[in-house]
Amino acid sequence: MRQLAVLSGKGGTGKTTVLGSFATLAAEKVLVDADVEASNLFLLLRPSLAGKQEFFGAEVAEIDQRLCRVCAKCRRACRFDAVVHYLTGVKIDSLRCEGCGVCQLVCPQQAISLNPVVTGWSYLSTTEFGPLSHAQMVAGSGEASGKLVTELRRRAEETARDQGMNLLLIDGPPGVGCPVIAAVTGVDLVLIVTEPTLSGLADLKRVHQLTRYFKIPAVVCINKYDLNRQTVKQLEAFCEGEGLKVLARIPFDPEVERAIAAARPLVKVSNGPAATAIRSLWAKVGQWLQ
Amino acid sequence: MILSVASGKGGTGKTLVATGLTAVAEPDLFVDADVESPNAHIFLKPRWQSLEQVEVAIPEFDEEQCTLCGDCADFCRFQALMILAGQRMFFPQMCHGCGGCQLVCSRESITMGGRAVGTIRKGKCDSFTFLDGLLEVGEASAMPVIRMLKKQIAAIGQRVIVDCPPGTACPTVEAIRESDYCILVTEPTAFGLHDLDAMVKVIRELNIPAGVVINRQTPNSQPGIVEHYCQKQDLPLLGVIPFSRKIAAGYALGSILPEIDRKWSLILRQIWAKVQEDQRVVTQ
Repeated sequence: MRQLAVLSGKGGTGKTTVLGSFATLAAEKVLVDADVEASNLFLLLRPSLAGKQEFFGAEVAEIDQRLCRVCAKCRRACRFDAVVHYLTGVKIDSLRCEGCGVCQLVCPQQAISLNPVVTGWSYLSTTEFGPLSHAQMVAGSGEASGKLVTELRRRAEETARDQGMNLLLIDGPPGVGCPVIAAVTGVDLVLIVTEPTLSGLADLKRVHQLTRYFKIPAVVCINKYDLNRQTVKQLEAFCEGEGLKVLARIPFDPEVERAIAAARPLVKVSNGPAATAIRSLWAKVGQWLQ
Repeated sequence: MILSVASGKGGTGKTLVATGLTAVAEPDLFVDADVESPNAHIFLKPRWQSLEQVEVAIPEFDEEQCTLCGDCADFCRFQALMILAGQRMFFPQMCHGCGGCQLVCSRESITMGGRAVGTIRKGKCDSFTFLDGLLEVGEASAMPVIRMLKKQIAAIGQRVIVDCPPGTACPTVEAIRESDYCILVTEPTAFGLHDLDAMVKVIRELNIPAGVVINRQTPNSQPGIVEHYCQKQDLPLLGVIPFSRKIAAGYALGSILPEIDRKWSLILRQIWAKVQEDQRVVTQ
């Protein structure tokens, strides 16, 4: 099985636009929307929701107020500022709690329990372009986002095996933290979608460092590339210096906005310059994946 | 007053708005809390003054005392500790630094040391202090770096602008908590709206008053898509920034909005005035 993850470092460079089009161009594959905190791929692919499962991504401490003597040992022991001492007692701040269990350990009254909490729901939906493994996350959940991404990939891999498919296409999140790491570990190729801005270059460097760290081959495409000639040169110089192949340069194209407004993958509704560049990009990526 | 700027969706214009506001809001501190991919320094160009490492606690083992009893591994909820084939294995990147292993060890063979996971950088811009954080690439959790940034806010600033990360999980929550007002920057597309809605749930749970700025409005944008949502949610619309190739090109080179064209100061002033007005109304 071959797996491609689309990343960027910087948000808004066009990952979902590119992957949404790949979804229509690739043959037998399973799609994964790993941007669980702000998932947008489903808006383009219009899935029939299916296979909904609760995801228990974290444990959160809870104090039984009937047993609590307000000694505040838990507050002193907690290294995450997750125990709040207010006038009449102590309470757990569930947004800060990391589920380590230290408060439970130190409580002399055994008043604290750790309970699994639902941090999101995963789905295995069907779209006209193939199965889509995606999720809805409870906003504010902790590193449960990384765990949820891992679960989405697991379900996608299982589906691919069941249906005799050999390809996973993963829409990644911005950044370099845990959901990104969960999206890329073990993939065969990362496509970094970047833009010719100083911010884009700074974040390209970070996400490239990440692919190096995890020893995953990476290639680049420059989106909205005709925005600024000066920064394109800087981008290309960086890529050349690092031995990063630039597989495509996608021009800024108002048809992209129209396609998003129509909630359709670009190559389905356009033959313009951006769509053409993405088709050619897919052909090259397809070769890299073999 | 602590003003946070967030979005949910990446790339909507948080940094554009946050850095632009420094020209009209007279902050004494600007914080870039997007520690996974900080960009604000590109626009505000601080003169760097200091670098501080952010450490998380990790266990250090005294081999003489350790009997491989496995109590620490049994306690650890993050799979950072294992006893396997007569050996103790520790995985630093799984470790949250909770200190529980040290507490359960009956042989006192564990002390808590530190492990660097990132850096806090401090600098000076003409009229305000600049702070950002950088997560070490390969580290999973931005939380320790953001927590350290937050601690420094109280010490330094009275009027603070916080540029937040994208997403809706705990790094973003930690960045916007305890702010007095949150500007939510969105784009007039289904993508932007979907993620704005996720952020609105967060600010409601945290009880932070908020308003919306629409960025990159074009004639092709679905008319009223965001305005309609704001009305339904009772969220004030603070301002609309139209799409402009000139802004995009200037932003690409690291210019803040008022530098790209002085006329943008007017929109930023309006946004700032509405924030102050709305914040006054809410706190009454």
